[in-house]
Amino acid sequence: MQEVNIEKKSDLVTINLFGRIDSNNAPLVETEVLKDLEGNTLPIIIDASGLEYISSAGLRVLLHIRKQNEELKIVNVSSEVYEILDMTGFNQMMDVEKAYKVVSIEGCEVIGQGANGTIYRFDKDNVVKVYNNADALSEIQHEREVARLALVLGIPTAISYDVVKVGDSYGSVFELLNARSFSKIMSNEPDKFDWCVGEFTGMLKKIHETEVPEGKLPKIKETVLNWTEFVKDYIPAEYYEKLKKMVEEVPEDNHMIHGDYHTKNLELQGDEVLLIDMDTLAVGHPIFEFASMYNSFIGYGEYDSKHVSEFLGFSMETSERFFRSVLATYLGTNDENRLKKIEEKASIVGHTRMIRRSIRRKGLETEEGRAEIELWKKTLLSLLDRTDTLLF
Amino acid sequence: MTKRPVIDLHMHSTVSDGTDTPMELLEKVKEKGIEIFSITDHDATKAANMMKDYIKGESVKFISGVEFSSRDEQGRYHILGYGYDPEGKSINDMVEHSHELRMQKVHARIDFLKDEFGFTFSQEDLYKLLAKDNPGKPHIAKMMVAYGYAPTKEVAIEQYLNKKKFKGGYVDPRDVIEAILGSGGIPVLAHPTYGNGDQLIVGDEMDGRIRRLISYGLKGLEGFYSGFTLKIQKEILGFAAQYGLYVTAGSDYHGKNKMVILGDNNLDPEEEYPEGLVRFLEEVRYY
Repeated sequence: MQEVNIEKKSDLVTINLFGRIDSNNAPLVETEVLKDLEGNTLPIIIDASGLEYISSAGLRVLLHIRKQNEELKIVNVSSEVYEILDMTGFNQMMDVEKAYKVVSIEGCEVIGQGANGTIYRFDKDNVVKVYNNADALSEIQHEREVARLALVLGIPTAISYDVVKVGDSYGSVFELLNARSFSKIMSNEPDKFDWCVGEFTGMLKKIHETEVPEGKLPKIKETVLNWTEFVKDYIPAEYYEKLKKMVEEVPEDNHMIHGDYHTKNLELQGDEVLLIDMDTLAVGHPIFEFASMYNSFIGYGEYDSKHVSEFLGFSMETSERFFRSVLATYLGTNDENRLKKIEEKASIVGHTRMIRRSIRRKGLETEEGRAEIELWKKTLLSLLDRTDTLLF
Repeated sequence: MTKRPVIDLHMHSTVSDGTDTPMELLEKVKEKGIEIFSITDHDATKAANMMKDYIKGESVKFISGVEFSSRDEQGRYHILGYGYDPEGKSINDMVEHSHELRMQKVHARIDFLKDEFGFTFSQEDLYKLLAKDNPGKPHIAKMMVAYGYAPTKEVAIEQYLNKKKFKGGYVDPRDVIEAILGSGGIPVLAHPTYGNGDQLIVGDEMDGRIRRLISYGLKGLEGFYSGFTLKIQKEILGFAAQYGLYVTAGSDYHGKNKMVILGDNNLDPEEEYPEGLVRFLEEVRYY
């Protein structure tokens, strides 16, 4: 019949629904499904992409199928149908996945880059963050939740209002009207360097002054301990022990840190400075924030400066100067010796992370990767030789 | 404490649109371990009349049942009647009245198809149609498809049969409730959220409906139902508690042609039953 079409594969049954399903044809759909699924033990997916309307009589057919087949999932549900499922609690009785609008990012400008995805501007008012991980719905959900939390706690940020499909990946859509990233401002208007340092530092302090209720965000220290654990096999034992001890003695801290704070994740929209790419939000000591900042502005360019200049959009020289100016402004000191010491502490954690990241991305399999890891390892060991604490 | 009984108070037999005879239902009910049941055919008390003889000596308890379709200016309702006297005059008059209205409508529809579109059917097929207990739009639509008047049943209903409008000719819920009460029965609103089966009524709209029907004499709500989600169930049980109504539980089993499982109504004998259901089971009449 025209409303239902059942495809059986060796490990899955797909029921495609089309058009309108109401009391006139729901009994027929039910008979059809019943006939075809007799004795079925395979998981069932109902594809609702062709479904225009379903009445409550139709919904009950779905519920009946669900009762006889525990593993039932409904995908590509339109917003209208989803609303009914939500209102009636059907979405609590079965696994329901909404239909996503398909968006193409071909030719779109990259305006931001985060640990988990890339942000594109797809029209004048909207940007889409495309996640690296194909199965990113839970990440999107997480980022939405933490962005909402940040906003509630007073951090200006954009919250995604829609989830879309981009190729095989998912993207979340944000409204960002005529916004420009700080990277863009720095590369187009070098005379705004000092202003950028001021705003960038101001936001950083604001983040670090924000207290987060217990349990709402992950603890960065635990993440850093994982990085430390990872490099255990790649550095001498005594260095590992020292590093671990230094991380462990950093006190717990319930203040927010961004976790991936660089000039591509800060946007100027009108007069307002907005923080984006919130998925790495955590709580912890600022030294861990400085560590990831060190990497973005300096660390990744230590072996080849183009890794920094191509990513941020300005020279490595500018980038180093920017990082150091931000640190000095943040700490309110021009004491070069002190600033150098703190930068070194940050870079200990930073190098630990970079080594792990590169090895996990199969860095040891290329000559350049091996050279880079070797350089970072040497730097890390010499930093550990002359540093005894991450505290400042 | 004594174990709570397994119950299913909403099912259909071959007297209306189910595929099991009342006797077959009795056997299946026993197999399923259901302890209290009722057969609720559409606009028919025949099963209750049959069952009162069959049930003698059985361990399962039977409650006479019926499901009337009704309608007024404000909407459509399916109203269940429980524990009535199967020989009661008011309820059997209502069954007859409903049947007559239905037959009148079938005749009117057949005439309409002939006058408006020139669709005619053989005497034999018409006779078969009218011999059914409760012939309706779906049966006529099926014939239209067989005759090639419409490509599908849906088209037959939407583009032809629904063009015929009826003024009046419906059973009023007030009369249904009165007829059930008049024969000693308990009137209960079936699957409240779904109205006549295809609607979706929640919140204030549901509240308004229930209040109106209570003013006509409604005594209970079907709070446990195979097609309910937990959210809907909670809402209906909330209304029942708020207005001190009886609560019933039913699957709406129709036999082979639907996926509804006999006995499935989300009621768990391991859990405490709501007060309205306990009271119903104590106060309703059994056979």
